Amino acid sequence: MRRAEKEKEEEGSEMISDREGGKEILLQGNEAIARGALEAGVAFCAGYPGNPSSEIIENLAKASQRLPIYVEWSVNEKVALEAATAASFAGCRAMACMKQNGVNVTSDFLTNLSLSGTKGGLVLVSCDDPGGISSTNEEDARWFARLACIPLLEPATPREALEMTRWAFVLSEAIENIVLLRSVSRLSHTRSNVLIRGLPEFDVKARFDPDIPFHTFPVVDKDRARHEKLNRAAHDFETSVFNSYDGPENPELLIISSGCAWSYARESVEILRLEERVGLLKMGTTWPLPQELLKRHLRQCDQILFVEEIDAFLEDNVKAFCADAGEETGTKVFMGRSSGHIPLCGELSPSILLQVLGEHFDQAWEQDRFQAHVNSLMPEDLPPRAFGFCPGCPHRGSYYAIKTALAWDNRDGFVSGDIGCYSLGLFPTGFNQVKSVHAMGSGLGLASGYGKLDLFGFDQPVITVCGDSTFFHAGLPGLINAKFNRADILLLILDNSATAMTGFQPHPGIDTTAMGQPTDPVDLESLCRSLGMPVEVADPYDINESARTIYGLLKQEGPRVLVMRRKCALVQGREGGFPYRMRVDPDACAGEECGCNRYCTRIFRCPGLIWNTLSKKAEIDSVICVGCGICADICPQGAIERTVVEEE
Amino acid sequence: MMSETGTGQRALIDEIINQDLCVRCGACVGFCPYFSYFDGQVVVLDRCQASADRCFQVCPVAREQGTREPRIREGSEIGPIERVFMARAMNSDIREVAQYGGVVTALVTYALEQGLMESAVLTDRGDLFSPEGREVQDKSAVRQFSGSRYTASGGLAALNRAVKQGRRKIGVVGLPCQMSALAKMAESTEDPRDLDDRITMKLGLFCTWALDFRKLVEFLKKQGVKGPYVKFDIPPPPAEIFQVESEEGWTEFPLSEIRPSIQKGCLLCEDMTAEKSDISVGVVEGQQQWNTVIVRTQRGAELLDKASQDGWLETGPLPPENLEHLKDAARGKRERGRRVRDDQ
Ligand SMILES: Cc1cc2nc3c(=O)[nH]c(=O)nc-3n(C[C@H](O)[C@H](O)[C@H](O)COP(=O)(O)OP(=O)(O)OC[C@H]3O[C@@H](n4cnc5c(N)ncnc54)[C@H](O)[C@@H]3O)c2cc1C
Ligand code: SF4
Repeated sequence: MRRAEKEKEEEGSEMISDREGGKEILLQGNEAIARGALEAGVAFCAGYPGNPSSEIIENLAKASQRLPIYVEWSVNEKVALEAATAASFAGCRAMACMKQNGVNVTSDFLTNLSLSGTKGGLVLVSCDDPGGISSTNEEDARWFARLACIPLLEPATPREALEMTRWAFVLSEAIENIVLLRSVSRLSHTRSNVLIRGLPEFDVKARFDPDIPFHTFPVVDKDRARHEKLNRAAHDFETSVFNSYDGPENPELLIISSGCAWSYARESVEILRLEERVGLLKMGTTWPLPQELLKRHLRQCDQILFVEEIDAFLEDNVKAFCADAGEETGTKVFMGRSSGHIPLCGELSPSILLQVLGEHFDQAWEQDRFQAHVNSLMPEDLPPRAFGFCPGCPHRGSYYAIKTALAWDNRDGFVSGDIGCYSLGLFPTGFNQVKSVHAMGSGLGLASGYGKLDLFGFDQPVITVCGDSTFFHAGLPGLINAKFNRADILLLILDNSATAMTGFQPHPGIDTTAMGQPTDPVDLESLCRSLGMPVEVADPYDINESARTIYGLLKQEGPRVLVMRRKCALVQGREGGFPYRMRVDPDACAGEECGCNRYCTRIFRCPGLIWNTLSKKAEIDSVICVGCGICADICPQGAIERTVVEEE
Repeated sequence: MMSETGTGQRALIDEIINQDLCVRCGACVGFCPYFSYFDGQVVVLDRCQASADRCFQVCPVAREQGTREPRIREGSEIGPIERVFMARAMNSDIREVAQYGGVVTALVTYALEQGLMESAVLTDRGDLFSPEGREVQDKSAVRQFSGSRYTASGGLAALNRAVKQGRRKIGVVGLPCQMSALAKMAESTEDPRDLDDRITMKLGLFCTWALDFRKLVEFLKKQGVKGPYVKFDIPPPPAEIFQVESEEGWTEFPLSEIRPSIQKGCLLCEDMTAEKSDISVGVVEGQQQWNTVIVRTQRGAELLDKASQDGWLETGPLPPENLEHLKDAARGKRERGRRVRDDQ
């Protein structure tokens, strides 16, 4: 990144805690959400890291250095929302932030909480990841608003993200229920100029009124009350500034759009010069539907195109609404994801919409020129990039050791994977060892199931891998289940002492909190030992010894734990480096003659190792190699040499 | 199931390893990074995808390319012979730890002392895991490796490592399959190493069969005999028993209960007396303090003579009935191997 840009960004994140306001600053969508919460006087913020949501809590944590607010990384999303809710019950404004998967985790609490209602403004932020770019799924968290009967807000721009967040607290207090604010990756990570206002005095006093309990009984009455709250929100939505229409009185096509998909729609309409023919209804409040507003716009036009990110949420809800309101609105042609006019799956983009609109209006979209332009911006020899662990990544060592141990064991063993960088064990960078990946902690749950299948003739050993952060998040119950039900399970906790994938947020195994305060880390080993199972520790950089340890454990029975401990390579890099300086001895490397068939670059695949096509031998790329030293143990000729870096 | 040359690792995997015919000699291990011997098994770590098939060429179980003839010629049941007699180590400390007469331990120790060998490839006793091959350079360490392990041990992996270390004058102690593998390595068109120059002595052990370590351990576990195992023994006929020493002392099983743990590949083998060795050593039946010794080559004879002259070995004539018995046993194994192979 260019320095000027970087400085501007840093300024943006500094400015989040600016008390004065009254100026425009460059903010990322997630920073805008953080600022909006601060402008609303939020007192308590909790979350669990996950792309694309992490920057919200990170920025609030930074702000907590200057402002009297409390911010935490919670052990998981459910606990995050519960902790934030405590603040709401005690009359403080509070917010919980997560990615779409996190909303699943928190959903049990959420659907009950919306029955009991809340007190201080409470906002749940979900940042969804269309296309699953850094997720295991493509999931639309908006359905949870319907499921839990709570209002849903969808900002389209960073500016709106700030405004909406601030208003979400007001709305929450007005209807005494939690509000869901939904962002998507492109909004969360887009930057634009945003007008900030002054911050309020943070002078709340937290107090729980014992006379006003929060619970869900009697359930039916509470459910009725919940629907009434929702109706109140619907009433407010009719006149909300977050809904707007742009276009002619009677357009040929009405686009109903929400979130940042709206900006794609607007851009496409402009590029195709369809402003006079297409009407664009931007919806910021998408559940409950503002029915009167919708009716007004539906009457304008019979051809309706829905443009929204991930699922046909608006589309299906508006269609259902039209089934009731048909007499007033007339018969419509609906187009969108459900109808197949827009691809059912995957992230939207302006070019997809250009295609859809171009076809609809029989207007050639100059794809060739556009594509030529895109190509001209890309360097010609851009190499294809596969998923890969960083150089020096301990996971490469762990999976190498696992691969070796499972091969030695020779009973068709496999790995039940989990969520984290180490999910890449599915791919060649992790030697394709991982055979299943689903949700946080699921690797352990699955393993505890495999561990009971002996009853049905199952005789394959299963290793389940789990990161330290993931283990705390949702892994522990699986392990306890295995212990209680006497399941055969070998858990490898890949302890790299960081929530690396999402940017090194602290977790319960670390000695510093989100706010930078010292704390006592939870000791993984004693935790597992206290469950009465054997716990061993190995070093992923010592692949031979680790493989022997894993092999030995594979031969044992019952629940057992191996902690594979080595700091994340990026953390080691920050903390001053690695043990070795590496070199391939050109005399020892037999190159093409070796018979190893380029083992180091073809199988081991650390990007620090390269195959010199001229000399036909392996080399260390000294720019990329960090000096972890693992590869010295894999060369059959011992040609990869490690020398200990002298202490300075 | 006949493979052409150049099919690479595939042939070995498809025809030997996946058929459970591997006898864990270790010849394919340690040359490239794709095979590994560990805890009693040779396993495939990764697919190499090269067309070269050294690994298949050196495998003693793999049939010779393009022929259905058994590899070992008929005629002499116990292979080429310069001399056959009985012998034992002079040193009673050696005899104490040795399997029988200690000829092997004595010869290796002597050769290392005299510089006739720079290093020897032996088989360790195993500790946490199965026995495996070890390279030994220190003559006083040789007797730590004395005695027979009745499970195969991938010992030639240690030879491959030793060659990689640049060792010259290597002595190899091994089973008949391992002696065959050494011969195949030397003949292999894909093996660039000057093995004939590097291996100065091949000491073969007589062998009827060896056990599959993991099958054996599984059997013992089922019988309630827990590891670690200190020693296995098969006293000579007519005992027909298998003995195992564990922490709980000695336990005995009828040999018939152990037989299912015999390596499948051993049943194809037609070589009882390690015909491709320089010197082959077995027991003298009925006289367990003595070894039957077959000297097969000139260099074998030289080593033996020197060791005897320097007072390391005591020798005597092998009773004719023992020789006849040996030939019967060897013929029996050859016929078994041929029958099993033909039935395949
Ligand atoms: C699996 C097996 C089956 C055998 N079957 C017979 C048989 O049927 N009839 C017969 O007469 N003799 C058999 N022998 C040979 C016999 O047990 C003695 O090894 C041999 O007589 C030499 O005796 P020694 O006193 O000189 O041995 P020692 O001086 O004790 O030396 C024995 C040597 O054998 C090596 N060794 C031990 N175990 C193995 C192994 N698994 N693979 C390779 N090398 C090993 C050791 O490194 C040691 O150097 C067998 C040996 C083995 C290992
Ligand atoms: S030492 Fe080897 S494995 Fe480690 S980073 Fe360098 S090249 Fe990669």
